[in-house]
Amino acid sequence: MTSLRSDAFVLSRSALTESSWIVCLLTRREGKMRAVAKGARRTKSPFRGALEPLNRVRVEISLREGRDLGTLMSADLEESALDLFGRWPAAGILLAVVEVLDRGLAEHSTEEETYRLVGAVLDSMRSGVSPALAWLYFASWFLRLHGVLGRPGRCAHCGAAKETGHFDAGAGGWICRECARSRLEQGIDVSSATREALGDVFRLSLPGLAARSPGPEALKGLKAVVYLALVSYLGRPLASGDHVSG
Amino acid sequence: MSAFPEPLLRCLEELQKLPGIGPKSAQRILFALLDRGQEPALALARSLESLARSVERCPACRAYRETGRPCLLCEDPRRDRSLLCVVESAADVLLIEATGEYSGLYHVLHGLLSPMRGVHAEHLGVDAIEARLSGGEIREIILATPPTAEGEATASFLASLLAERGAAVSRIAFGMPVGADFQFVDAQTLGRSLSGRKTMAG
Repeated sequence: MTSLRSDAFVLSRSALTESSWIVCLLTRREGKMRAVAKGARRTKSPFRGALEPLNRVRVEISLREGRDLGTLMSADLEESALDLFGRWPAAGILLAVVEVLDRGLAEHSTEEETYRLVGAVLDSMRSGVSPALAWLYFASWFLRLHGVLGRPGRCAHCGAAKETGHFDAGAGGWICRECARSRLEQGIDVSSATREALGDVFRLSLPGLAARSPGPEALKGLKAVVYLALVSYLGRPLASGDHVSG
Repeated sequence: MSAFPEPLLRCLEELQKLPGIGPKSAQRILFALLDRGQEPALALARSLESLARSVERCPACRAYRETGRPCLLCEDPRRDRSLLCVVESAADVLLIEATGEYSGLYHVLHGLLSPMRGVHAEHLGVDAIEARLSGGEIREIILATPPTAEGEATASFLASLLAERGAAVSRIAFGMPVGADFQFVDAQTLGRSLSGRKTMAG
């Protein structure tokens, strides 16, 4: 029996018994993990309000060798996200963030960068960055960290170093015009303004990106690209897609 | 091969579909019914059948009413028709009624916004709220969803949707339970109590 102490973001929870939950966490040290929170559904739960989605908590998880599911021993609330859920459209964006993390991360893979990304996005939303921009930043970086959405450059299909103005998730991402034509235009054409905005996402911090204030057309294009890439990565449409798509 | 006859197993299976009832609870309920003899079990079966056949959702408030009969909540002339309280479930209506502090109308959402669990905006019956608002009588909508992420998201979604429909939108207060000691209240609840404080008449 080993014990893990780590900072974590709560992702989701599901009922295990009348009094317990299975909680899904994004831990800083061990990535996504699931643990049983005994007694968490009781009125006098030892976890109180700590296990709400996207709350930052300090957890202790007891792990048995050979078992994926740990037991949550303690969860101390470090920072609550409840106030952000009380603002629309921020709440809709957070529902989508939770879904991407919950469905898009493999268990027990190192996700230190994703952990820091979530923290940066929540901090920026608290300080007033637009939820729509925060979503694009989160989704673009999430996809990049998981090898899906790189900077436009070399054609992912033919390998040639030429302008890649077409995004086709099925062909590996950014592809050139000729390859787009040969693939019967399965992806979408992406304007140079959108590609530039994506470059800014990867170059600047979120507050820096907000200060630069990308144009609405560039953001619209970026929204379409990240949504297409996310659907391809997750293998199905986002259930919370209404809040973040087109 | 099972030690129990088929009708018993079928009943066990049906009981376990109910919230909070696992295999052991289902067995306890089932054997208590069988031990009482035939008549109490048949009485329960008759009342369940009658429930299924003669109760429906009221199209206005989405709480339950007897099929084809006026809704006891919506049609009660003593109720304040300028107030609409939005709650997650029909059980919450009973809890709010038990406070004796509220005598307005209700809207039951039958869930909270949670795309991952398949609950989307169209499941919340927003059209029924809008139909009520277009009647012009509602002056205030009280959002009484729980203080959870889904409860807050649902309340903020409804507030944004209803903000420009002429009625005031309010959120129930959250904070210290009556009789609680400061030492045993978590920081989040205490923080909400402070931000939701009220001015006292001196």
